[in-house]
Amino acid sequence: MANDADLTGHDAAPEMCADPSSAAAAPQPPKHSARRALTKITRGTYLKEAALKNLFLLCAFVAVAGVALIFIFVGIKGWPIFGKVGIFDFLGGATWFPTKGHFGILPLIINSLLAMTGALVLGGPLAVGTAVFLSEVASPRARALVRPAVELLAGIPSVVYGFFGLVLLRPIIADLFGGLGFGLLTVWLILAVMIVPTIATLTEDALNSVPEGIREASYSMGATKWQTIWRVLLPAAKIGIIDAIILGMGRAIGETMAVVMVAGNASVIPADVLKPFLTLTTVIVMDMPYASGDHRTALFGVAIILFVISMIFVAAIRVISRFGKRVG
Amino acid sequence: MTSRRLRVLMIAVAVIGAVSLAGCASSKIASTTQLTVMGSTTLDPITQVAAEEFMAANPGTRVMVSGVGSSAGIEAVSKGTCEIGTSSRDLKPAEATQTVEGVTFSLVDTKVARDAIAVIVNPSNPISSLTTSQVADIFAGRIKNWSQVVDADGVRGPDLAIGLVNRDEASGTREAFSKLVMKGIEFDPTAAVLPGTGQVRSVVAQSRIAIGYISLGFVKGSPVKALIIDGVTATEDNVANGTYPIKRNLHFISKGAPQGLAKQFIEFMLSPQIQDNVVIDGGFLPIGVGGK
Amino acid sequence: MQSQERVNKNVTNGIALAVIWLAAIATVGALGTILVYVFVNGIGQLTPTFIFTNPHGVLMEGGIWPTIQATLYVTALAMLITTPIAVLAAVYLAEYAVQGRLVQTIRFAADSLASVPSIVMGLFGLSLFVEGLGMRLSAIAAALSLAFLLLPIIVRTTEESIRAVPKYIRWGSYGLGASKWQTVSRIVLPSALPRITTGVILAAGRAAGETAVVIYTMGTMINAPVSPMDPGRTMPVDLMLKAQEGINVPSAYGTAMLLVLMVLAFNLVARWIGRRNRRMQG
Repeated sequence: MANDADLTGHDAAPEMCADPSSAAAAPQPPKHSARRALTKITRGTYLKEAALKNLFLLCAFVAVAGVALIFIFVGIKGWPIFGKVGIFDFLGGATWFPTKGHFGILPLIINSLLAMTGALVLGGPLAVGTAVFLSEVASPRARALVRPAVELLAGIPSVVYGFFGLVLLRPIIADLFGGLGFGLLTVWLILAVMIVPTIATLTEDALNSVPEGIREASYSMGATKWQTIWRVLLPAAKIGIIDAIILGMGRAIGETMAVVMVAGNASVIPADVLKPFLTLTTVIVMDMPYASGDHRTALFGVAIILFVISMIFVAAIRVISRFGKRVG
Repeated sequence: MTSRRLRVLMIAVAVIGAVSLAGCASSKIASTTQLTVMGSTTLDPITQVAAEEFMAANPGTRVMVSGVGSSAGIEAVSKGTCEIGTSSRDLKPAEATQTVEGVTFSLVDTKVARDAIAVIVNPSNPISSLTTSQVADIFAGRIKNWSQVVDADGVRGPDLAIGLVNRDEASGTREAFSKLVMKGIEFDPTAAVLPGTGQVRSVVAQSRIAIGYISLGFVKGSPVKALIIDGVTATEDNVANGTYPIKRNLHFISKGAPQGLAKQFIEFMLSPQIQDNVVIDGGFLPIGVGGK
Repeated sequence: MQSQERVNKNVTNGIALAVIWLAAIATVGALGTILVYVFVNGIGQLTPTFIFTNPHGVLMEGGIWPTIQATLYVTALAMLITTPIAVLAAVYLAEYAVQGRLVQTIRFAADSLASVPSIVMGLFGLSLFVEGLGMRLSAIAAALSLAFLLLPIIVRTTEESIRAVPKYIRWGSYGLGASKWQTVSRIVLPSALPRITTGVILAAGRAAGETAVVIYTMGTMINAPVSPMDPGRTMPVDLMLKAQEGINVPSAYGTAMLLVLMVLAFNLVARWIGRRNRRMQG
């Protein structure tokens, strides 16, 4: 859209300017080869073009191959557990005690969902608020501070988040609320910050893609900035924001290293937010070093579940976007 | 131009291929003077240092040490993934003699050091001595509040929920503690499970409700209090004279009698250079001390 | 009545904007807290000895040089593998692809790949490369696994960069009789190069900070890799192990600080390239 507007705005004149400059930008001026290409488009050229196109397609197809390979190679290692335990006993079993032969991951699923939900409740508003700030409220100078901050938050390795949570946040939580500091509360706080960049960046994109005219129309009717944001912009960007939140959910439920350090890793559903708990991702980190036999198979089974959950999130975004397009 | 770029790409690919092939080849050649040691995270620090000193003393050799847990180490040496497996627990009968694909072999156990496990609490905790069965009740979750605990001097704990700190199942310390203290009773599944000695120590050092267990060697100079167990203070002397109840041996395991580099390394491990320095620095006791 | 409403409206507006400001401040504050805490505790560790010597002794004292080497090695290898494939894939999606089922499948796959939890990617690498293809724990196994993680990231940034190149530049090239590949390779890609580079650098930062993938594909052995078949312990893995073991915490602070510095450096370089590019175009 923006490009088209640009094109109609600029006329033949800038195009003339653009030509020599872009030719200069190329490693060698194409004068010589261009003339050759003009005189005869040979069969060889045609074949080369076709071959290159297929090479590129092949590269693009690596993504498809990747998904298939993950499914196959995590699948073959984990699938036997479904046969051995039964898929319903695996998903619905209430006890995870692999060294005693109990392979029920229901507590782990519930714990993962608890961790994700709390992170979303805390981090979602923070992220959307930050996005609204960047897109609608901030002065250029404030934006020049906040946007890099969001990008840096995205860049900090999750192990650093975990370490920070372990050495600073956990003792503070323990002092303030009692317990040992390992628990949902600590995990929520860490995850909430970690999902801010994911949600904020995409929400900001969604807000920025709302046409300027809609804002102007709202202001001209006497609406305040907040009324414009709340009644006009957020509804207009709704689909994009929902997508962003789902991606944030995926990030939260898939996060491992930051969670394992502050969760406390007890394989039960915690009695309160200050008690230790184990999730789908952290069970893999904790058990992988020593797991063997069925136990190891079960961990790959957990990985299959995680993979399926992430696929469901991606599919949900697809469906919502398509639905949004039809409505819009 | 395009073809030149393609050629560069192809050369790059070829170079990478050649490098990786050379890599495969060189790592195969190197394997004759290479020794892999895997196992106990308890033994890992001293084994690493012993490996460094061994390599310094024997140029051209390479000893790779990784701490993966005792069970994983025993499994690795059984499978032949490594030449020496290290363990902080005794071999199970099923591990000592195994038959895999029709071939029967036995694992040979060499004791390289002694260790004691201290039960630790925060220094602000008034409790200072417990019996083994009290400790077991606490870690089983049968006693949930410090006010239910009365120590040998008649001191009662404060009215605070007990913060249990357990180790992960890969830990040899947990396995030894389970055998020596819990004696078959299950751990409380709601306890925090931490994957490292130092983490247990720092959590207990920071929290007045916490109780945990670590190797005696790691208590030294840290702000935690080692409890008197069954009336015996957790000191190296009491481990050496056999009165302290929670103690164990640390093992090097080989598949059959150790040979070649593995044999050399085990002998080096038992030499005074390691026993009297590295083992003691690591907080353990030399194997010659405190027998029986 | 009406003025009352207007006051209410303005009060609400004021409060709401204050809350939005608070959200932004909280976000910056969270980053600030992490950075300050890591820097204050880590700065004392960053001596030449820490960076450039090998660890020794029972408590892994001394330096972390092998882990730095392993990190750089595996990051470079992963970028070497991923970048060409990802850029060409992006060229296909941006320049050649026609909307249809095939392209939809590719996009869905790329989105799925981007959202696979890294721990799953780690187990995948373990299953396929380490055990399946017999690479054992090695830099190449880690790099290949990381490649699948980085691919969708670089494809997305590259595709955006290519699409940002104005259409009339392409028409100029076609007008001179250039073929599609000539246009793409000599006009479009050079124009998009700064933005592509930015994306690649940020992806490299992601690779260097990744833990879950690397730990299952390259192991935890302290070793400076020479050949791609060598195992090694990268900085994030080292930090994780030190944090979990909790014995040598000062060294963990040092590693954390170096990691954060590295991410900062990657971000600044990417930002600098972006800004220089904007100035040149403007």
